[in-house]
Amino acid sequence: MIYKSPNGSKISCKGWQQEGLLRLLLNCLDPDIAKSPQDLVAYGGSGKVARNLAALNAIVEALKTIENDETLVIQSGKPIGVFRTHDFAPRVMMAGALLVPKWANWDYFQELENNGLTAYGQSTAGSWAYIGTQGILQGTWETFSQVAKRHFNGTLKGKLVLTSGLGEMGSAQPIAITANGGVVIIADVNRNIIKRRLISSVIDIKAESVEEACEIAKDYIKKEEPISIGILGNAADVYEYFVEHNITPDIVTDQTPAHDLKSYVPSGLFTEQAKQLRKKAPQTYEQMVKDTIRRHVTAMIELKKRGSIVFDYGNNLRGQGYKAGIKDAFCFPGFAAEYMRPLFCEGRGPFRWVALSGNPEDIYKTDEIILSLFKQDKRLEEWIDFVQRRFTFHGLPARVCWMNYRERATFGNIINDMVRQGELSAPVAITRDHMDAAAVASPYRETENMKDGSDAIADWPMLNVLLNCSSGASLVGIYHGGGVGIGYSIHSGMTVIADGTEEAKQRLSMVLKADPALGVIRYADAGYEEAEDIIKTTTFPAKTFL
Amino acid sequence: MENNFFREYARRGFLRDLLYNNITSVKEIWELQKKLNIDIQPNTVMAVTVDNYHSQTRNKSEIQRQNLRLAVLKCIEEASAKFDAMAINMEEDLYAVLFYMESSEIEPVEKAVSIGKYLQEYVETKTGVSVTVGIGRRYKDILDLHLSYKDALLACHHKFFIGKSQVIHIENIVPFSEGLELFSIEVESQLSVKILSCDKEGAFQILDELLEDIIEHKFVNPIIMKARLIEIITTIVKVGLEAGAEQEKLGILSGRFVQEVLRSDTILDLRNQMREVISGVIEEISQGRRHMNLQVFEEAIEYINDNFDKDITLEDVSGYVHISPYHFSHELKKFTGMNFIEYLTKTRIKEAKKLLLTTDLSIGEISNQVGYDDPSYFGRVFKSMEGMPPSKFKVSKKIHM
Amino acid sequence: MTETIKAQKGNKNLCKSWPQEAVMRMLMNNLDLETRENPEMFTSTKVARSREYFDKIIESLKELEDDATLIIQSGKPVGIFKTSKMAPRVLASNAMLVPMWATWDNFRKLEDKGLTMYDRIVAGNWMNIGSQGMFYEMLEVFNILAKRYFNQSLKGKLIVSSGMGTAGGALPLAVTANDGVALVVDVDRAKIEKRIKEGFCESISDNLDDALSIVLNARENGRALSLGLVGNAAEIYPEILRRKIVPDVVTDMTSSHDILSGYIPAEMTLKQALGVRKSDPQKYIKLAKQSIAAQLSAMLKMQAKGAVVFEFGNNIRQNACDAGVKDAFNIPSYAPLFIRDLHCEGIGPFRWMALSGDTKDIYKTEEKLLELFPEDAKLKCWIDIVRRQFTCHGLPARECWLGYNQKIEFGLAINEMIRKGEISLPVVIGRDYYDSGSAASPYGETEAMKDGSDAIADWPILSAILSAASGAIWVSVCHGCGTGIGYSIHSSMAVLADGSDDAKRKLSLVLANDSSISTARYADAGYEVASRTVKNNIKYQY
Repeated sequence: MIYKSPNGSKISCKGWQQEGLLRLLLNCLDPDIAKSPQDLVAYGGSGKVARNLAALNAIVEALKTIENDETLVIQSGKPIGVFRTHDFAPRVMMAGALLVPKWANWDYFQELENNGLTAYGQSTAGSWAYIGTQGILQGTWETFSQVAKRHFNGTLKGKLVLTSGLGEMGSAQPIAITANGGVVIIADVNRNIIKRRLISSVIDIKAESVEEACEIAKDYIKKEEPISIGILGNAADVYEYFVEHNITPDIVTDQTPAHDLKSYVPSGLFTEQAKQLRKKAPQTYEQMVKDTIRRHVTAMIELKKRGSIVFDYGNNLRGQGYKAGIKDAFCFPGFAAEYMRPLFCEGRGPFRWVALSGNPEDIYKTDEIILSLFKQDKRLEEWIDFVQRRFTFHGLPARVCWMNYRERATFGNIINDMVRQGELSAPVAITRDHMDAAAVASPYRETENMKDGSDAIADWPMLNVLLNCSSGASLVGIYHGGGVGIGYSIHSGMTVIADGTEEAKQRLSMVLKADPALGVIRYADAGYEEAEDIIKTTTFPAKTFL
Repeated sequence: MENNFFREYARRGFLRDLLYNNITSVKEIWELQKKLNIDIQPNTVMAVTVDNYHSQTRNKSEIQRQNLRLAVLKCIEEASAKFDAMAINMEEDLYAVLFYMESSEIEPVEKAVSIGKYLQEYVETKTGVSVTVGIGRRYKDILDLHLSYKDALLACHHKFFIGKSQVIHIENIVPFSEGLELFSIEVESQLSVKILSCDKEGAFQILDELLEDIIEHKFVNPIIMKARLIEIITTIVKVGLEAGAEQEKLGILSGRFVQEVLRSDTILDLRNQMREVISGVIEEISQGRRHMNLQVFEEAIEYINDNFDKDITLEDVSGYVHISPYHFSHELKKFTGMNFIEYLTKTRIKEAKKLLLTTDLSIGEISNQVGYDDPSYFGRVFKSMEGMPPSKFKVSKKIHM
Repeated sequence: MTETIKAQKGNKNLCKSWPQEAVMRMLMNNLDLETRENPEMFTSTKVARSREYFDKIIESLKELEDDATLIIQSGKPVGIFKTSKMAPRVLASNAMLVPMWATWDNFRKLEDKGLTMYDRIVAGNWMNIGSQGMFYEMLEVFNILAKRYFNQSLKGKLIVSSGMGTAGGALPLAVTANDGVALVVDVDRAKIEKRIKEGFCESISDNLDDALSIVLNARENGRALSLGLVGNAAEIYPEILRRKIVPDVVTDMTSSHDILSGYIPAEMTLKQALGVRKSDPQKYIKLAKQSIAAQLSAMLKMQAKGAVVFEFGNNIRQNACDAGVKDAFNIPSYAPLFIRDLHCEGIGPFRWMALSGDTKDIYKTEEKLLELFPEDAKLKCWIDIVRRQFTCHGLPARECWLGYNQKIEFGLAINEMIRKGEISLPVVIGRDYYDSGSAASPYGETEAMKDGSDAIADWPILSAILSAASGAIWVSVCHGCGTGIGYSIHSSMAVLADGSDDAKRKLSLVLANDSSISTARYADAGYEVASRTVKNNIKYQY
């Protein structure tokens, strides 16, 4: 069975709220978007959109039949029932993978999953808001653009970035870095991956040695022209080369699969050899991995001492380094806490919208609105230009853009108007990633090292989902374990369908304000002055108690 | 009317740009598509090549060729329309078909092959021209469409081994090996010997063994294989020249066959072309040798090679092989383009050069060893032939090495 | 904190509308009750993270518009948002932690930093109605216990328990109401005396010998009786065993879910205990755990000798297990034993509170209830007991357990009474945290689920979201209630009956949905009775 979202303006549900959600659900399983649609997995290891095939079919059936004052309730990807609510209530509400904390670990979760009692929804897979790799690209782009803004006057021109890992996530790095004007040397141990990335222009050139890579880099840095240089090699070896030869990159990070030591390839081996050794001598392998991690992290710490901007890219490298015996492994920050937090403080987050018509024209039209509406925002302009050039739409065309609370509400209402006036060919679903300010509690990433120590407080995503439910979201959901795994995060998602009606206008104006505003409050509550300032100095949509 | 014409012209340009990866902005592509009324998003490319185009059209006029090309293009366009595909001509004998494959297709390879088959049969039935279709992978990003075209071309290249009139999907072929070691140097020298001795059948046998070996063990990229065979042609031609075949004739021969080899569609074509080269060279050699007993002539040359260090004369040599000095001189000129003194001098200077480079002997000693009593005379002769005195030659070559 | 907070009564509203007013009265009433029952406990059992925040909440509620929602994070008001009239006026989340960090140690650190607040059973639930809240459930428990083990009646049976706090204090009455003999141990003499004064317990003894002779005599004669014994359960239980006396039923209602501030270790007076708690909390916890282990070991032995032994949802088994009693979990929990069948039938807690403050309003509703369901004999009998035993402090309220259709019918009937003016002012309707769908507590309500879904915590959250979408005026989720941090997730809600059509709609939605999702949870876990209940009530079932 192959799933694809319907498009166009003819609907098979009793209203656009339901139809929009149905389309988003099926779009998550589009063969061009989903990682493994036959297993109902949208992305991220095993992030599922429904518990199993029967559940999926039942959900589709239910969405087609529910009335405009009913709500479909879904428990970890399985529909539980349709309840009469009211027209302004969500049409779908979901909770996924939540466990009583004491039992919240992978082993136990997998046992429950195997028994068919729960399902892992990652984040946007579970809440049907996954739109493909644009989200990853945007996240990476945003990170490097923040790094540029913070340290290098807003551009990476003439700057050298040293990183590694050309996997699914990692290959967004060279694109994002060169888009920000920088020069990047990126190492990977997999010959085939490097070749693939070269063919598809993810990297511009493959150097035969670190030495050659450095020479090419030097040349481009001098010219202040961007280039991405791939090298076949182990991150630890490559980073050590920089230390030994006294070359200090401007930025150093890493996206090797350090979070999963079974995928991390130790120095001295290539991918295939690593696979064999892992089978034959797991203990030797483990020891080698440990040694490599230690060298890897040590080199990064040394480069930091010499003046590089160094950060962990959310793959738990520091944690593994610490476990391998490096006491000050945490001396460099995580990207989320360091570079995303200032954005969260101003209520800026991973906003996205999806053209339910299936027509790219609708998205290009909304792009134009953004460009004219937020003219002063140069970064936004750069992003739109970049993504328009680099990104092919798959399934339902969508756009990802980090916007603050005011921008989201303004923009949401404009989209709704455009739908009403027929400027867009069908309604638009407005949604976001779960990794938003109030929406996520994740002490190893987004809420790492909070000023007041409230890293693990998980009231916020709960309140977020309840508030969005009360504000008129079309779909609300709360999930456990996305990004960093079971036990380590709680997060919520939401979607509002802008169908051009007066009701949608109300929903949008409330949800798009309340959702990010609660995020600003969360950060103000944790003592971040930037957030407090915003509450105090702008016409903030909520009354607070500061 | 005119508008349509220009739009069509622009449409082809756009499609070619896509296939040559000349447009790098997704949005630009979208806008061009809109302008050009292209409402499909191609994600797969087929390459259609006319089999044996060059051998078929060698003797046709340009008008006739053009008519053939147009007829084929028209048929491809007609067949493509059935699948909402777009066809354009890329080169004289090469067409590209761009189409959209549903991502939901369960067996995309089978589906694409069936489209290819339809297209191939349609063209062949309508025009009687044999064509081969190569099909690329489906690439979901429009910016990667050129990769599908590359795939398709590569698939087409496989007709070299499989034979013509085929539909070849990139997923169904074994990738070409990238190794360059097709055959050893010995093969070349064996072939040279056979050619020198004008043993045509012997030379064919070596060629066949070589090709069979390639087919069975080394599934190489035909381009690389052709390049190596062109090297062999060069060697053969050199052998022919040394053996006294007429330079001009060989030049024309080699020029023609290099092209033919490059254009050969299948390995069988290639074999035939190579056979023709070999036959041609051997023919030229024997032409040159018709007037003289080869053995006698070779003996004379051998005598010169053995005794150039002595003060030998034309009479000495002709006397050695028992023919008249005049006849020998005439044959020598015909074979090598040189008279006796010229040939002797050339042989002496060749040896002198070797000694200059490989030994530390003085100019005088060398002069003596190659048969000149007077070193200064040797110097003059050397300079007249090499453009520089022996001492300078020694220094410059050494540095160069 | 000497100022007494009393709930507003009568028709003088401090807020802009009844929903806000109702929420505010609930909250104030909560504190009213708390300070009445445990005057010294204000700081530990909190409705707000601090007095300052409490005042801010009250102030916000007074200003709150009819289409605005107040957000409260672990007892701290954090924002007021514009929502809609159908939306709740208050949304609260308490003590939620990212699971890997959900331990008492981490929690206490966060609590010390003023970042969160512990929600003890009822406090975070603003619709606290005092010890009455647990009483009806207890009646149900002993009723089913009698049915299951003792031929319908507890006559001539000895029930031993411990802890006379808010929840445990009602146990003696629940036992005597079922004709049994109750011996309840508590270290705090004052607590027992209080229960006697309130009529929950009949007599008191400071001496085990006396106590035993009284209760054994009553057991012999089949006479219903309750006796509070001053002592520590960790000492008394083993001693009873040593004397070769085997009670018929043994349980425990000490605050063992909260070792540091609830449970009192053996060989320590209350005063000493309070001292050590402050001076050396680590030592205190160690001692408390030892005592818990001793108490539970005795319970296990009693079980081996034939007593019906069960845990009453205070996590004593886990704590004993942590302290080294390996087979602690041989003792079952009350929930799967006695409550699950009721849940499967859609029967669950239902409480209502008269905002007028006029007890007559509650009486009228009781009469209405009996009039609506004359065939329910148990209901009549127990309502009588409850009415007799519970003087209404603060705002008059009542709790009983009703079936799915009963809840909706009764809720709408109350609204109708208000509309007709039979009741002077609006009534707020809610329930305990401990309903079937609103609890995920593997050592409590969801222990030993048929399909093994004990630890699945989606349900209470879904229940909360669904209530928020159905017209509840107050919705709350909380972590760690009952069995302690790490061990449970719960949710609760309240809805208002004010006689309006709007209220009628909200009542029917909230009451139907709340019960439906609860029953759906059990149907999903494979309980056939629940599936049948669901089939008749939920439109669509997967």
